[in-house]
Amino acid sequence: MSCASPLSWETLVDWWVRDLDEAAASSVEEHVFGCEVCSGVASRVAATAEALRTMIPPVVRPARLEGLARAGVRIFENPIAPGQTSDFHFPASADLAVHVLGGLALGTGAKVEVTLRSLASGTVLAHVEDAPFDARRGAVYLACQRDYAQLDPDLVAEVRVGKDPPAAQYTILHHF
Amino acid sequence: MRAEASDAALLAAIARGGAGLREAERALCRRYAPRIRLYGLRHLRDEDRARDLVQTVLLAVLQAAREERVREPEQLVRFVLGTCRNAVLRLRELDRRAEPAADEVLVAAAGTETPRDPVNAAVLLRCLGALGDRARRVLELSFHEELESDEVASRLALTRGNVRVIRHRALAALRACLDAPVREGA
Repeated sequence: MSCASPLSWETLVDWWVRDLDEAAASSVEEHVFGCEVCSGVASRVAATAEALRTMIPPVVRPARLEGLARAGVRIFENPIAPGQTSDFHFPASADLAVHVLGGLALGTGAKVEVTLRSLASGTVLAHVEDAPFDARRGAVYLACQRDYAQLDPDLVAEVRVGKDPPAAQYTILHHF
Repeated sequence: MRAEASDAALLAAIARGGAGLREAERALCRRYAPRIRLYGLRHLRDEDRARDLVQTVLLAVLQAAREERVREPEQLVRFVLGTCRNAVLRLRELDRRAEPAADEVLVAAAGTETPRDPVNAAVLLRCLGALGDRARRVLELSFHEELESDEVASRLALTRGNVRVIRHRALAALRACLDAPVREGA
């Protein structure tokens, strides 16, 4: 299995995200379709891109949750107030858990930052600037998946609204 | 039938029928199913619809092979790609799922499982966390929000060229991280 003129990773990424003109895209497509080597590399590009496109981000938009619920995903909500520690057991009947970090004064144009840290080590697990939120409920939605059992189970979520006020803290002790 | 049989040899075996028919059909499906799925994913951006496309196209190709309608056997690649293009156009026109024909034998032969590339959410989160803020943001805007390079560049005050380079490198780093064996205690 070999290819006389293999396509580069860069070309295949540009092709996948539709960043090539029509003639170039068509040429890449024909090469990929007929070449086992380049088809293999293109599959790796595609798998990485699709993993990103379909991932449920840690801080999830209300509209995305509604879409998931419509698609039949069983979502369990775990409301938490600022300063509270939640001892959370992932329900067997849920596909996805959502920690509802509530008690926030959120105007429509609010600038919200969310930082997730390991309670034990203080390591930052994720930091989201300009995080999405639900202004009506005054809440930020933190998606929690079964796969996260591999991460530190106990974490602190810090939610900062605007620049000045101190961040609201929510501590979550997970049991998967 | 050996796995490395040429397209022309597979088509000939299918046209002959008899004992070697099913094996030749399976070999042809194994060869083309991943490429058709890739084509479907790129054009339809939906795993289930891509899988429907695999079946639809393979059914059409196998039917053509049985009826000896593939005029240039050495050009089977082009025939399959052309069938993909037509099927995607039809899918878009109809805006509904294509319904495979009810030939059970063909459905069975075309039902080749293609890998779903499952990615562990925790590993993905960890790998994204290992990227720089700017790289992560470019990936988010490119793949979550599906913005074009010009729009990503405008949002992040970068040039289009910068966005492309950052995206190439970030995606390669992410792939390497996802492929890396998990370190003990990590």
